[in-house]
Amino acid sequence: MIFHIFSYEWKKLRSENLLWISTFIIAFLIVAAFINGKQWYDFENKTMSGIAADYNTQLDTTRNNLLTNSDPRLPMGIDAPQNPSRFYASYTLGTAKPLKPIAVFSIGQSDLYPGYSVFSARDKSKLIQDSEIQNPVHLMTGKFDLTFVIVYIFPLLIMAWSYDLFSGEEERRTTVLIRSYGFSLGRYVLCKALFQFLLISNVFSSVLLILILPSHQQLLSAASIMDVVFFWALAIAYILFWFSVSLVINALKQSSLFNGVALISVWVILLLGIPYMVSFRAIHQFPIPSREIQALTKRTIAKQVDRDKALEKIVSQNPEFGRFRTDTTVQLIFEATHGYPKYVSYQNELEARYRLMEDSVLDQLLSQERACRLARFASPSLVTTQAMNLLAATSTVNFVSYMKAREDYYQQWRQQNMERVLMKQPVYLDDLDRIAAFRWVNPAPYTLVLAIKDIAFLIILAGILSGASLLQYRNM
Amino acid sequence: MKGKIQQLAIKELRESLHDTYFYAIAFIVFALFVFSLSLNSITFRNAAQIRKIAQERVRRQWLNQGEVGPHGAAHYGITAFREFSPLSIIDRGTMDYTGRSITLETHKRNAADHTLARDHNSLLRFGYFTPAFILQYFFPLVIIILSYSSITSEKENNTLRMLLSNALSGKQILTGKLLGIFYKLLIIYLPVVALFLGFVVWPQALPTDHLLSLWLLCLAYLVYFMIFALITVSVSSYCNTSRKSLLVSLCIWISVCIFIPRLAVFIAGSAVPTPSTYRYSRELEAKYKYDFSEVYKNIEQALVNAEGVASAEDLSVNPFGYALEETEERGQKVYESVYGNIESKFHQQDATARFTGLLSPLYSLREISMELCWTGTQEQIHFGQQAEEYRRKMMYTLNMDIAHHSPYEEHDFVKKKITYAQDKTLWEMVPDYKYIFLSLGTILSNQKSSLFLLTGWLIASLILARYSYKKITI
Repeated sequence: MIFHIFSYEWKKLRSENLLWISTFIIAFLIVAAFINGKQWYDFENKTMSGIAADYNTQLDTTRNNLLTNSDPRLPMGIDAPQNPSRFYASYTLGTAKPLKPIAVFSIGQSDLYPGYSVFSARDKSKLIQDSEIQNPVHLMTGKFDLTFVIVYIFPLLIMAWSYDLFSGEEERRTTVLIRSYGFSLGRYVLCKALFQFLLISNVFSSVLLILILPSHQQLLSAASIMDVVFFWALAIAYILFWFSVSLVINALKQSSLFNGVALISVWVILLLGIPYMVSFRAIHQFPIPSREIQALTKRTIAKQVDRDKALEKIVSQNPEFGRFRTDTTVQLIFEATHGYPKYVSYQNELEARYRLMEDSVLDQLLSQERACRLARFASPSLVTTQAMNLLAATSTVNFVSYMKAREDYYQQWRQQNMERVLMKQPVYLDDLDRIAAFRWVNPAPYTLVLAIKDIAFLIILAGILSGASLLQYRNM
Repeated sequence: MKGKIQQLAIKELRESLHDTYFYAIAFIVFALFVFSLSLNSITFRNAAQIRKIAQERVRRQWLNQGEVGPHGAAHYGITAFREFSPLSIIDRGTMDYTGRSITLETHKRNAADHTLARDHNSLLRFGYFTPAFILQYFFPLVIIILSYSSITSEKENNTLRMLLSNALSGKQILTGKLLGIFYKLLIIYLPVVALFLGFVVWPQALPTDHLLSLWLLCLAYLVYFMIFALITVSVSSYCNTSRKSLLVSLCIWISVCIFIPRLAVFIAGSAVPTPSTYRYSRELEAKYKYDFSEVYKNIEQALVNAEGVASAEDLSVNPFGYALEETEERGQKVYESVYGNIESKFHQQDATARFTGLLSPLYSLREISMELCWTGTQEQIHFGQQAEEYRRKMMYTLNMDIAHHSPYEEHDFVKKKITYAQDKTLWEMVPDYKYIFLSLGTILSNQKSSLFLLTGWLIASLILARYSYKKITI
């Protein structure tokens, strides 16, 4: 029976040219989304490679300067490469959160949050903006990536195909004919839906396999292949879910018109309504203080912290840091008034106070994101989007963790150099070799268990909906 | 003839008024707007209140910073907060994706900081529930539901024959139907306009510019709805069945509202790529490099020559203030070139996207809507430029105070401690930061191409309808 129905549907599709049109649309959408994702991926990773290359050049230059000035003059001038205050102000380090190869499919929040940072111990950021400079209209509209195509466009294509799975037969009065062939209506409609599902999945999988994977070899690496498999499985499960929705709507035995409107309404609710409600609840559950107030608080802190007291506090806690007062071998910037030791101590105190405030914002954001994740089962579109972003490590959770890690790294670097300044400890060649590079590891990666849980949810939901619709057909 | 068209339109309207579905749709739309407007006006009022308090406190902090050196005060600077029009209750535009405050300090022009999107969970990307969102995405759906079967139902029920035999031409039927849909649209849309007045105009005294802008906004949306109504009725004329008409109309909605805007952005981004922040920062660093001691020496020498004195100690002014001002001017040129480059990229991207937006009236409408609500890119660029202008004036005041009032020997900035300090008298000379919105004239002039495109869409839809009546035959 299945073969007969499949064969009939196949002929019908070919005769209406619908097959080629649909294949072209799906292929076009996937390729366009892939090109956009790849452009972003290349752009970001190329920038990060550029930063790494610039760092190596800086390292070589500093090394050469230190080598050519291996016998530091005493007292050491502020321009000497070994001078700790010069090093504090100018030696630049960077952190980067490289995009995973699978990010070409799911740009997620990577266009909103910083993917890299460049700083010296004195300047927390040497960039004119913390994130990538982007046209705000583009940020507002969102990226045209594969996740968008799958989550937003595929359901609409599925609706266009399947809105009249049953109603079409009723309206064409072919149900009697179907019955005369000995097919049960439920099975017939299910087979039709199955055929369309297999066709769309097949086109999607083929385009992915033939056009996409060979053009982005990194996806085929051992580290990424499982990501690709999970991404594919999520997409297929999501497509399956939408076919099951179509089956349920058709089982209501209304007109094709009703089905079309009902399916569009479901789309609006699942993709716009529920995400908004979930987000709204999370915002009110974990509010983030207004940035205006934060800016004010920072200004107040900046005025409250006294440079002299900050220096005294540090020296009283660590008497060895008071060496700058007695050591005359190294001349610091603003030496005569101990301006620089005061400055670095002041900065240390400010950073410590700012950190408390900034961390609380990030923690609240993380809590909001967790609340949204917990509520994801309210809409399969949430499950799929969040899963795809987590898989690609482009979700807010990943970026918040990165921002915390880069802050730790910066603070550690500043602290080390502050000590060097206060102790008037010159920079030696082997100090450069001891600089620990920033290593980024995605926290709690989207594991096998989580992926299977999300995929299983979509499949089970699709199964329940299809089962319910079958029961409905049985009663006809 | 007009009487028959009018009769047909009233018949169309009367049928809807007897239909429960119509009331249900009107009620849902009304309820959505009440909900959205309430939510957004609360958010707006809270944010405006916080902003006002913050700006006042920044001023107080500035005035009460005590006795410090003017250059130290310049480092402390002020924070400029962006103001939003009450019209942002209707359309938030890009305001969630642009910085709301700029730290104005010496030596550098900071970019606007603190975007709301970064302080928001990722679901913001699914869309913010604003009245503009409902008007741009849901309203066309309502129009489609109200009009997809306007002609096809006559064909399917065989009543078209009756209408044609009643001495009505296809053109008159189409005009009558369109008029009927327009009446229905007004029944739903006018209460929405009233809500706008209630939520936006009534609670505060709206400046004339903003009030006029609100009316223009309502008009722009009405044009957008008419485009959708014309297209849907034309589709209904071309199709033989309501089913086909609905499907085609929904496909148009999907393309116009969902697909093309993202595609336009994708094409614009690919055609005019923006260099990375890192590249811009490097460019800035490379261009804005100077040795302050050298600048100081040159200024000092120039002043000695100009005043014809024997040595710098005899100068009537302090070269330190002029040297600082010189670096500010240099910085201004560099920053203008870098930020100008960024803004020019944005303009090019917008122009490219607008060109792709030829395929969707939503793209042009969205731009018009954002700019008329003072939440678009133009306003953001204006905020940055205005803040920079203020910063330059502020730095000039502080630097010139050093130049004219600070004793020369107290500004050997490398070795000695700078003891020169000023008090509230000087801080008061720096005027309070006041945000001034772009004028409506400037907005309209900047939006000429979008307005032209939207009008073009209206004309094209009218032409489509003009030819579709030929399909109204038995």
